Amino acid sequence: MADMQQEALAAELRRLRASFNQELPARLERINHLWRVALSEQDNGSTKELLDILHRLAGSGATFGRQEISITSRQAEVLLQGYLNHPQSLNEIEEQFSQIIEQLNHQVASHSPTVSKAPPAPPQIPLLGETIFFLHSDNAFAQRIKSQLKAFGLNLKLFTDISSFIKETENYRPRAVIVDSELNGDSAGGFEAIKQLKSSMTIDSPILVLSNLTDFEAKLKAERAGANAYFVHPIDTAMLAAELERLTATFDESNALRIMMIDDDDTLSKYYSTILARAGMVAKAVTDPADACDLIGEFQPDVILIDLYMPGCNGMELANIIRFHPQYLHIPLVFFSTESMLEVQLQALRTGGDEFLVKPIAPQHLVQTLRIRAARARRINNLISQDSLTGLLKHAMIKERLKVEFTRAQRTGTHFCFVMLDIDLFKHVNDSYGHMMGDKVISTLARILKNRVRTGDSVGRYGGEEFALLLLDCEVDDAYEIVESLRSVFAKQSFVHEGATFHVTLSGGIVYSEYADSSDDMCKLADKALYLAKKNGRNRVEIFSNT
Amino acid sequence: MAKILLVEDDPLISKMMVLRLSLRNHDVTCAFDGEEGVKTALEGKFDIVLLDMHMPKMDGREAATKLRESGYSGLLVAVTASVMIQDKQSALNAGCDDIISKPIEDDFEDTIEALISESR
Repeated sequence: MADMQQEALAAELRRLRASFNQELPARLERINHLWRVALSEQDNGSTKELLDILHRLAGSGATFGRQEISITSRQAEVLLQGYLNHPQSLNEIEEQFSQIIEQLNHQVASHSPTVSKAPPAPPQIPLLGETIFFLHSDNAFAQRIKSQLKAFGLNLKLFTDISSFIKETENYRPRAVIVDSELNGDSAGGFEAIKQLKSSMTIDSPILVLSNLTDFEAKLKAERAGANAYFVHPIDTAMLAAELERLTATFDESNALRIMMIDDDDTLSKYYSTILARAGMVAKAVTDPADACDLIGEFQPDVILIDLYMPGCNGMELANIIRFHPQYLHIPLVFFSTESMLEVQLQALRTGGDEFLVKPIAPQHLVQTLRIRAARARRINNLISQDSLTGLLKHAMIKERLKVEFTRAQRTGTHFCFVMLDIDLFKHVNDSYGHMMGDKVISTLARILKNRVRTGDSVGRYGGEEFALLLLDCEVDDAYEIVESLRSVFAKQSFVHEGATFHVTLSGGIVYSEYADSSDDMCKLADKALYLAKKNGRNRVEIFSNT
Repeated sequence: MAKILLVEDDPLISKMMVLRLSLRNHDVTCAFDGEEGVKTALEGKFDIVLLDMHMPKMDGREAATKLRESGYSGLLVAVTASVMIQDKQSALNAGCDDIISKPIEDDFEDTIEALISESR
């Protein structure tokens, strides 16, 4: 192409950039307008259009030489998208969002394209597939494991060679990976395979090893290769299923890690909250230390970040007060301060802190540190609070959750339902088909409950064959529909034992928080409703009513 | 010198991409929505079709699905401003061969040319 044509095209490009910049004020007007409407009318249509404009701006700004516009729009987009995914009141993100929009307005007005280096792109939030990949070398064995785990509701895909396995993981993130330690005749071939997988897999699925080797050497090899669990033959599939559940629970998107930041510096907290949100965590900023203890109970953070120097109460004092509560002992406390003197830092740690971070801190450093601490704390806490067979909350946790929710309901006026479920004639199942079958029935119900209940609600194993549900922000009729549906689905499940098929049913009792005087009262009333369901023939759901 | 079909609803972005690719001596045709894109792709012989994933009426994913269902076997590349892997995965599942992220980077033209030569 002639040089002149090239020059003409280049000039055209410059004109395009100018056009983009010229259009910006009008787009900002639209953004400002939509944001005002969305806030005052809480109107979904405006919010969606707002999201659309921000998405487009994020995707185009840098292309036209306005990188800072892309970055800021992206921040706004992620924040707004987060709100749309987990609807709360728009007011919860109002301040943060308004600040970002203000910055956007400022960038457009000043029209000084910055050449600053862009912060790392927001980490991608991966979608977890449901299937578990199993790399094995014994087809009969693998098929057996596959069908046994199917009874627990877990789906396996079998692989015999590593290259097809790796190819598959390029486009699909398996929920977990199981590897036979013996592969291709090599008794330790599995460990090599795991190393290969880890280095080529761009995803983070937990890896479980099945092995004949019981010696320390083998376990060390497994650990060094990067395995998360080690099972020795003969494999107890119920244990395997439980471990799979536990290992994959922390990878659930909807169970984002929760960080609480206690800092009187509002602006800084908001800034760090945005960074943490971009990294897929949920952040709550607390500016008054006096509110901390109550809010910890409500928010259930995985990690708490405490500013050392606050008016009224310093960070160390607050840490001690938090440690007064045995139920919060498991939460790691991280101090956060401009304090650079080592002695002070050490003293802070001595008061019950787990780590000391110095301000200012690089965002990625903050994200990594908090993520590691929060994830580990949650894993440990789950071990303590979760029933090992079902992965559901234990009795004590459910009761505590119930208490917290009841208090919140009294305070906010938003009521909820508590449901008690009991498997009908469970003793008969154990006596006729054995305890392993009994366990399968329980895990199956647990899975159904977990899958069909909304995030935010709680599911617990209350007793041997008793389960409890907390359905938040729920009217009695809606709760009834949900529980009726659960009852029906469970009744349809076929269980197979030595060729014979059988079914199991459950009974349920529901109580609405408005009709109870206390959380203990709610338990009693739900129990009464459950008793009525049994009396009325089982395989049914009853609601507690005063009449 | 490649024949490129660009399916993109934003007029400025479209012009920008056309210009940049033209500067590299490529022949670019434009479509402004998914439906038009599908029709044009099926009628012409393009070395590569660039599909914007975020369009009103019919978006890139739908267009890709329709094209593959009609037996289209040419190179389809999704162009997306989304950072979520599930959006990228759904583009691939719909039949796209690869993905290019927005905002468009400086090496956009190189990436396109590499994709085309790899597919030959």
